Amino acid sequence: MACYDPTLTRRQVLGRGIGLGLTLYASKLLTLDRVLEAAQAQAVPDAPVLVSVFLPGGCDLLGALPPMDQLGKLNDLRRSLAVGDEIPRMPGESRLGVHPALTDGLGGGIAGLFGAGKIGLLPGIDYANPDFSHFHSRHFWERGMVAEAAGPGWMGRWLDRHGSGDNPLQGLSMDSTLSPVLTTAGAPAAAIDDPGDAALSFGGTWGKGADKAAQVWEQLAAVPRAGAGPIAAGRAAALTSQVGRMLSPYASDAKAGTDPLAGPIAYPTGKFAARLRSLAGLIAQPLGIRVATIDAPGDYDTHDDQPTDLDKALRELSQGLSAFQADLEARGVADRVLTFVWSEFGRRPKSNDSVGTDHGTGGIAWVQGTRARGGVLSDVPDLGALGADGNLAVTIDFRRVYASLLEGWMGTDAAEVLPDAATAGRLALVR
Amino acid sequence: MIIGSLLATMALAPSPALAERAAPHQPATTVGVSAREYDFALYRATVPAGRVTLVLHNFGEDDHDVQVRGPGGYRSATSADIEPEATLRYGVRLRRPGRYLLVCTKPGHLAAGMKATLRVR
Amino acid sequence: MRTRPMNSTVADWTEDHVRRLFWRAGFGATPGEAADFAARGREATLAFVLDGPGTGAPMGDLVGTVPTVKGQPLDPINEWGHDALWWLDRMVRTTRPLVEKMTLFWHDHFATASQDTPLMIRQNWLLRSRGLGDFHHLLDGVTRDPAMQLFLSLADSTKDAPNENYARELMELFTLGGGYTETDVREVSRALTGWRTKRSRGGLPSIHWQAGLHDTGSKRIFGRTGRFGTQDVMRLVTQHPRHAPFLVQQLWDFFVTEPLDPATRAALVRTYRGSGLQLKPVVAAILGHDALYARLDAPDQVKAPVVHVAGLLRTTGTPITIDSYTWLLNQMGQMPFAPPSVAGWDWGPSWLSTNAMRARVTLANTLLAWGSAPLKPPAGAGNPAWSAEQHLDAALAAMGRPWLSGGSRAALLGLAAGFYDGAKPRQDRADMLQRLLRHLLISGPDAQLC
Repeated sequence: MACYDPTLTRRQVLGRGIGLGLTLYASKLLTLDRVLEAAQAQAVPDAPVLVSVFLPGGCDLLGALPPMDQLGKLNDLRRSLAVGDEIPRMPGESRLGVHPALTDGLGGGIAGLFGAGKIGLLPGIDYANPDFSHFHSRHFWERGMVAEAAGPGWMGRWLDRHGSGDNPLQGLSMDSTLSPVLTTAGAPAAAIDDPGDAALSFGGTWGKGADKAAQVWEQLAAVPRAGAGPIAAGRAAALTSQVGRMLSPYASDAKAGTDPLAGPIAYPTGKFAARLRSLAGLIAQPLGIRVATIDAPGDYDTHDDQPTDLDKALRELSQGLSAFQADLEARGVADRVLTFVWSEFGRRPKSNDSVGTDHGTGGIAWVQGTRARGGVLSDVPDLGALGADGNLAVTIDFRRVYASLLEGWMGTDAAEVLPDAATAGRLALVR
Repeated sequence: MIIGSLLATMALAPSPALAERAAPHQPATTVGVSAREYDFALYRATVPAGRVTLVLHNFGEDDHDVQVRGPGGYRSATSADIEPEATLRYGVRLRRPGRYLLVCTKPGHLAAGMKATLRVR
Repeated sequence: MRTRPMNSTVADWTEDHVRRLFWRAGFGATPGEAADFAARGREATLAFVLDGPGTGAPMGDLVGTVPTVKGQPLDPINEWGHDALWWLDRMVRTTRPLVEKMTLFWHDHFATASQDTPLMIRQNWLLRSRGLGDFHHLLDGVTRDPAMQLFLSLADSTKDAPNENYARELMELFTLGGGYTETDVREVSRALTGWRTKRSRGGLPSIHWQAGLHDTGSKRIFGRTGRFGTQDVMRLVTQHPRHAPFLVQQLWDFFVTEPLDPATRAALVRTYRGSGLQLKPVVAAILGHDALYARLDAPDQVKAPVVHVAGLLRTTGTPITIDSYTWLLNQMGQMPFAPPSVAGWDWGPSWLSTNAMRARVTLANTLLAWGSAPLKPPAGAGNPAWSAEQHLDAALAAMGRPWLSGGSRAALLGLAAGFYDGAKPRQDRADMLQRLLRHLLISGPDAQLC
């Protein structure tokens, strides 16, 4: 169980959809009127939005973006995972191959977006002396510091500093639970699984009885409580009834065939795409969304049968993210949305005996958007200069990227959020 | 056999004999089946001839389906696709005793070994 | 066996003590159990919880109505989702709830998922039969367990390409929590090579030892050198100085919400090591500790979803007659046999996201509409002649007399008093009020705590 260890917040390795609706995480109970008022007040039309897309499990850099100028060395290391010379190249970047699945999707998928100058790749991203535990490494990335202590996530700390005290929609996880990236010390944040299904009902009551049920529910929620568990129970009860009403304007109606969040772009099937679609729709509403998170599906922890697993995962990612980008552009909000895609570590250059790869260093990340700086923004690790343990060199520290996102995109001082901001350095990620 | 000894140890409820007595006509025998790349696993090795309900769960990452092939050229229809993490109930009538094969008809899956044997007595 | 509390200052032993112990060590107490064991006293109650009634099967007997779905018995192996119902039923009807609670603890600790149902149930039985015994024996069983081996890629990890997955989780999540190096991970993974998957004609996998695939070379683990194998790794990790404090902390946090103070930790570590890594004495010491009985008037442990559901059914004597619990547990965030990752579930207040809270309301809706008596109220459950107090008391009696805070009691009495808006009470309105009171008693904030 995870509660035994207060130093670590453990995230799911495999996404598992539970529940529907919306979850609010608030420092204090908010009334519905106040929430909507705060959301409207904070909905500055041009405020930048940062979307975090997490690839759980440790995505393989060399499988996703094979270095074609090092193909011989790569295939020596990966006898069971050999890369053919015929695989596609990144448009305009002949040294870099691209997994065929990343060419799938609107306009040529991730490769197409790269060709259009809307993706800045960050190969070799990691931190010094990386920890090979999913939970440790993920925790460091989520918190924006290499330290085991528990605490709010790095985007959550940004909300604590720059967010509103009473708009939970400013920090949004498209999931049944809040991403650890977004946990805050005080600022409210929310998790939405399905904006269309959040209403509360008490079976066997109707008419005035149902009204009384809703009233007494609020009273039960408001009973004074002490201690983490009891307070959580009261808060969950209060917010559960509020959010149903709060999101009711955005609920789709299958019978009437209406969907207030519908956009012009057709998405692929699957929960990931559905969540991206909802997110694009909500970002386009005046709700004051500033930071959002979404977990990609699929198994990036490719210890065995990597060809199948990686293809499947990257294909769904490429299809989903290219539709999301096209949707943001079609809705006219793309210039204020930057998407940051990341994974907790990379994988070992040498393949294992299970047609897979074990945990390694030097992973993959990218920024995506109409205002992203396109190109390859960090050095591709040299397969001729592996570390003593056979791992890739780290060519860029994730904290440098975070600091650059905070200053270059959100326009706020990185030192407020990142303890290592002073030494992290900066990198142009935005144009 | 693992399942057999477990059933004995745990005194699990279902007993085909009891179920048959309870029903006016012979009920279908339920067989749990898992599908993944590229294996089927059957949770019952042998069933009586008659109606069989396959309860297929896809633990894998790709879509799968199932077709039952048996003695005398018997071929069931191919089931609907089963998406990852989904469960499908699929009924077949296996009249003749003998050895039947469950296969996945997705391209390349059978060649990769995606088959399992069900014995009908 | 040690049942004497380590720090006994509690003067008396009340029904509230019994309820606290029965919820934390099991799935709640019926009103009859609370009264009975309050009268029997602390020592006898703890002995009963730890050792069971002393008759029948060592893993507990199942008493009461056998579960059915659509009138048919469960088929946990073949019917999808019936594995969860089968275990839920054990929690509801067992004569030894602590055995099931420990099985749940170990299912979270050695979290395994996505494996064939027969293998998962076999593992579940392993956790049950060794869960209060010798940890070394339990760990050895888990390491050889097919579901675990397949889940964490220990099966088919060979000397030529050892897979580190199991070795890492063995130390990080199962035994130590820290204090090992990357070299230890690699060397342990070498020491654990040699297990091979074999499939039957029906395709079901099993695990076999194949000596030729085992790395017989010298390994260096925790600074010691030897030609270590599986047995040696079990010994090395359980003898590591970090192991006892690590496991003691996890057991404490499972049962107790109060922080574990250093003196108690040291005492529990002594108990655990002194017994030769026996689990029952350390569990006994935790269940007897005063900290478990803090704030009896305000329960503060958030019930895990399966504990909530099993507790509702057990404390009201309601049999399983519907399979809705499967999807409801999934919505509440805890599907047995399908933990979200090898790290298990996030426990405590994190159970109560508003999504999960909605699902707990839906659970009450489902039980009251589709469940069995006594949770499902019959027509005429309400009486128009009742006072507010009588209405609430009738609902409390039907729901197994769950805990209710003073503030919640006042709110429900206010609801009952004003429910008719001054009009003449009618039977249908009295029934609606009774349904609503029962609903709120099992769905409201108080019902989530034990």
